[in-house]
Amino acid sequence: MRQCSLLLFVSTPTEEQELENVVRKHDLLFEKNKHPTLGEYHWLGTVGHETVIAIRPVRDRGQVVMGEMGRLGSAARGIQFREATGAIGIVQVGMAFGIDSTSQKLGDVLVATSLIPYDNRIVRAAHPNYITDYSQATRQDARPALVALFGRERKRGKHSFGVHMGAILSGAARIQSRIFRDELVMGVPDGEDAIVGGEMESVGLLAATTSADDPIWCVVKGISDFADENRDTTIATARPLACRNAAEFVLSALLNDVIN
Amino acid sequence: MPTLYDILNKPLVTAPLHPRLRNWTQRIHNGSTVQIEVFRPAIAFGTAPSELSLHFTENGKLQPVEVLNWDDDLNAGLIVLKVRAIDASNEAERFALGLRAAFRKVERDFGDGYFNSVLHELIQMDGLAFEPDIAEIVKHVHTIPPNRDSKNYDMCREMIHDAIIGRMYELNHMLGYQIDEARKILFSAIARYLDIRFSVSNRRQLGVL
Repeated sequence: MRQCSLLLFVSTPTEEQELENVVRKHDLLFEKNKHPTLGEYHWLGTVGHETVIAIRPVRDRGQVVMGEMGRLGSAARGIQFREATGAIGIVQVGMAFGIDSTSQKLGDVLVATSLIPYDNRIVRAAHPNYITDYSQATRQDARPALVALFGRERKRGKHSFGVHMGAILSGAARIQSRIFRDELVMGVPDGEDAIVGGEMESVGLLAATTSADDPIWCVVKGISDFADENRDTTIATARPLACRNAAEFVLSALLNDVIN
Repeated sequence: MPTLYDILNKPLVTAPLHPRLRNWTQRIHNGSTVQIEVFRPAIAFGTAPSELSLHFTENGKLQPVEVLNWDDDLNAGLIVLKVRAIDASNEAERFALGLRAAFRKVERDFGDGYFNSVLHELIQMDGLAFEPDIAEIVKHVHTIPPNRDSKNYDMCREMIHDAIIGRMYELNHMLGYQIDEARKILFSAIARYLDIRFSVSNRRQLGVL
């Protein structure tokens, strides 16, 4: 297995395709490889100061496997690839939902300074209804070196899309309700970094960190929808743009850090 | 306890300490002896959060162990108090964590990849790679040669160099280890730091080395 310093994690065929489009636009390698136990990955070689591998979405009997749990989930694959390659950092690249369509646009890129695993919640009876207690959903900090790298790229200000850095909600719900989305944002504990969006896969990366006081991950995702009633129609058209912008941002950050 | 108003009305004699450090300082001044122990519980791959244990002896009696999560600032305070680890191997474990803390700013300022490159080169060029513990790890480390024309190269190299020398200063001047012993502990700490950073033992365990 080849050694690398940075892993890029994509979860869907669109995320993978748009990553490939951006990689080829920058004249970089995108060489498909297969490891007998870890599965398929793309070798990008040297990108800036990093050697990079992009992990392919895993397929089971022809179907893409999503979610963080199970032997094919993002948690297990993150751990396996990290250990086999010696990677120092993992970046999940793809699409996410935004939380405020007045200050954010489709295609804007979100960078996680922390993740909020919102499925870590207690649902209590409150007759005749119930309340959801999110007090256990505490922020998990992203890798400071990766956050700083993306902060430097944001500061260069050379992209046509906006870049928002802050906490990202992560959990298993496919959200199509503005009310639920807003309740979630208001319900989780406050922190230093404001919430900028949410997504579904990255909570598995928390398991890939081998030393809990030294995180190795970060999340960079483009806004494909706003987790509201129009989610399904919005995402169908915005998906490629969101994935492309996230990939562009990550690769530009790596390449531009060499120059500066 | 004096009020803030009372304290701010007088010149401060010393910088305020963490409450734990204040307590430990007081106990040491009262004649207690103490050693620390670092514990890094192994899990399937990697380690769980590191723990710091304090073994106090007061009036000849061993006190209940105080266990807390590893904290870089508390460790720095314990070094100022000249508190050693229980043995040389544990001291190396402690200083591997100390190196990790010292290198964080370099990682943030220059990025993980560039930091790796300059660190690897420095260890090879400055003779550390001949030390047996370090040699055993470094032979499994591969990095891109750093761009030495970059204006960042000198600064990055100097910051890494200073982080390592700073740990030697702590071992020799603050904890009082003789030069040879301090060097041995530091080399072991560097080897442990590199092992974790580049996942050498984990990769060996997986059979990919």
